[in-house]
Amino acid sequence: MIQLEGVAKRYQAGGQVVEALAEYTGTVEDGEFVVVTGRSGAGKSTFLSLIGGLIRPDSGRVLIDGQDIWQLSDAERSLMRCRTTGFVFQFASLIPTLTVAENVMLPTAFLPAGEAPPKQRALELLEQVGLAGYGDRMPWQLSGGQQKRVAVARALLNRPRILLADEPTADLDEQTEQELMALFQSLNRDGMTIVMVTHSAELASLGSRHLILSGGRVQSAP
Amino acid sequence: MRTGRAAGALLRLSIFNLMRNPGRSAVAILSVLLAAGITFAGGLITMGVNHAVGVGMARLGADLMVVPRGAVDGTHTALVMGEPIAFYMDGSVVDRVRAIPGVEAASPQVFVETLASAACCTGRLLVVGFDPETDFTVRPWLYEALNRDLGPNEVVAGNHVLMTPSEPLRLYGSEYTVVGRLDPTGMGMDETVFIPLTSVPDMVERSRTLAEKPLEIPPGSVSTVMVRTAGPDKVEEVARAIEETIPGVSVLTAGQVTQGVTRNVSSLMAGLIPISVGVFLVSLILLLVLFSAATMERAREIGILRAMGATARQTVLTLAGEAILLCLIGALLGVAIGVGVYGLFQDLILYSFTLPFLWPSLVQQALFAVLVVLGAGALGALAAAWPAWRLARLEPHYSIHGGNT
Ligand SMILES: Nc1ncnc2c1ncn2[C@@H]1O[C@H](COP(=O)(O)OP(=O)(O)O)[C@@H](O)[C@H]1O
Ligand SMILES: [Mg+2]
Repeated sequence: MIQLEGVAKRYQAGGQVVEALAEYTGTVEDGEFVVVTGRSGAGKSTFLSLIGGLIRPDSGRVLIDGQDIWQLSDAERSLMRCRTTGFVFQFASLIPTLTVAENVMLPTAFLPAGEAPPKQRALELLEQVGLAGYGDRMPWQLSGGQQKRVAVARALLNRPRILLADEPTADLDEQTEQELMALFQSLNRDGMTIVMVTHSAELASLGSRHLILSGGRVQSAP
Repeated sequence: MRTGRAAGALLRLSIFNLMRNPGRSAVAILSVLLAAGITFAGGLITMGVNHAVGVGMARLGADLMVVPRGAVDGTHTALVMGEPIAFYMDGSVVDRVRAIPGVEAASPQVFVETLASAACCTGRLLVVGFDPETDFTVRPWLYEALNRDLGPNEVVAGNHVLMTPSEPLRLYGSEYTVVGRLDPTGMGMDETVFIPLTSVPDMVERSRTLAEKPLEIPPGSVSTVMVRTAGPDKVEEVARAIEETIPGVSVLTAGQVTQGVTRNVSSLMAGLIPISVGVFLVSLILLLVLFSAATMERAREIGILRAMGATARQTVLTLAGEAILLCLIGALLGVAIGVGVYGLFQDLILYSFTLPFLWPSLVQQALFAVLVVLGAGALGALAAAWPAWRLARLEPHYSIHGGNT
C-alpha cells in the first residue's frame, strides 16, 4: 500500500516557484491500477518520483506498506526501491554498453546475494514481453518499442510489487502500445500494483482508477 | 556481499563507459602518463644518485683526500664520473700529513691516466696505485673480492671496466691479470683499475720500451693522500690544519663530494620539479574538466541505476572508480615509459649534471613505482570526487529528469 500524507513539492527556477504538487493526501491500495493523466508540466513525473522515493517532498510523508521512506537511510531506501518498485521511464533507459539480457539482469546487482534471481528469469521475462531470443543483442539493434519492452522486463526482474511507469507508451506505435498495455493489465491481474502516468486520455480507462493532475492539484476523474 | 556484487556490476559499467569514450580516456591516460612518468624518472634519478653516493662514499673509505692545489675539481669529477686524471705532488707530503693532529691514518695513492690507443692500453681508464703497507681504503674490499694481496702483475678492476675475461689488461705496454672485480658503486671507482703502488715504477720503466708514448711520473711523487681522521667531528678541523700547514695542497672532504653531488641533483631537480608540478596541475585541471563532463554525461544513467536500487555511496564509488582506473592505467604506462626514457637518456643526464648513478634495488624501484601509481590513483579520486559527490547528492529525480534545484 502506498500512502501520501499532505505531500507537497515545489520547484524554484529563476526566482519563480512552481507548485509541482500541492499538499496531496491519498492512498494507492495493493493491486490497484492507477492511471494519472494531465497536461505537460502538470506535475505527473514529480508525482511518480515522490511515490518511488526518487525525490524528497518539501512537506508531508510518503509511506510504503506503512513505512515512511524518508525515515530510512539512503541504503535502506535504495534497497526498498530495489525490492519493491520497478520503474519504466518515458525515454530510452537501457544502458547502451550492455546486451539486452545484461540490461534486464542489472537490477539484481543491488539485491542481497541470496535474493538474486537466476539468469533464467531474465530470459523468461524477455519471452513474456515478446522478445524471446533477443538477449544477446545490443540495445541499438532494437526498435524503440522493443527497447521499451526490454525496460519493462528489467523493471519486473526483482519481482517488485509496485510498477511505476512514466509515459511508457510515448513514441510507440499503436500496435506496440496495445501490446504493452495488455502486458500491464495482465501483470495487474496477477496482483501487481501499477501507477502509470500518461498524457493520453484514451488509456485512462484501462486502469482501475483515474487521477487527473493539473497545476499541482490532483482530482479523481468521475 | 550485496556491495561486492554491485561494485562488480558498476565497475563493469565504468569500464564499458571508458571504452565508449576512447578519445577522452586516451587524453586522461596521456596526461596522467606524463605526470607519472616525469615524477617516476625524477624520483628514480634522485634515488639512484643517492644510492650511488652512499655506496661510493662507503667504498672510498676516507674522510678526506689531500691533492695538489687546484686539483680539487678534477678529483671530484674523477671520483664521481671516473674521468681519468693525473697530477702529482712530492711524496714528502704523506709524512707531513701524518704529523697533523687528528690524523689517524694516511696513505698515498698514485693516479695513472691511461690512453685510448691500442699500442698502449686497453682503454682510457683511471689506474690507481695504492700503498699496500699503509692502505686502509682499498684493501678492505680488495679482501672481499680476492681474499689476498695483489701480486706484481695483478690488478683489481671496477665493475664497468671493459675487457674480455681471458685477455690480459694492457697498461702502457705491460700486461696485467685481472684477478678481481668490484661490486658496482655507480661512481668513478667503477671505471678504475687498482694496482699496488709498488708496480707503478715498473710500469713507468717498461713504458719507455713498450709503449708508443712513455708514461711520465716524477719519481717518489704521489697524487693524493687518503686520510682517516679521529672522528667525523674532526674532519673540518683536520682539513683546515692540512691546508694551513702544508703549502701547495688542497683538501677534498667526503662531505664535500656528497654535497657537490647533492647540489648537482638539486640543480637537475630544480628543472624537473617545476615541470613535474606543472604537468601534475595541468593533469588535475584536465581530469577535473574531463570527469565533470563524463559525470554530467552519465547523470541520467546514474539516476536510472539509483531508481534500480544503487545507493548514493555506490554511485560515488563507480564514478570515482572510473577515474581511478584511468589514472592507474596512465600511471602504470607512465612508470614503464619513464624507465624506458630514462634508460635512453641516462648518460646524457648523468654526464651533463656530473652525477653518479647506481640503480636502486628492484624492491625499492617497485615500491616507488607502487607509490607513484597509488599517487596517480589518488589524483584520479581527487579529480572525480567533487563531480561524483555532487551527482550522488543529487536526488535521483533530478539526475533522471535534469535540473538541479
Ligand atoms: N528540476 C526542476 N526545476 C524547476 N522546475 C521543475 C523541475 N522539474 C520540474 N519542474 C517544473 O515542475 C512542473 C512539473 O514538472 P513535471 O513533474 O515534470 O511535469 P510533467 O511530468 O507532468 O510534465 C513543471 O512546471 C516543470 O517545469
Ligand atoms: Mg513528465
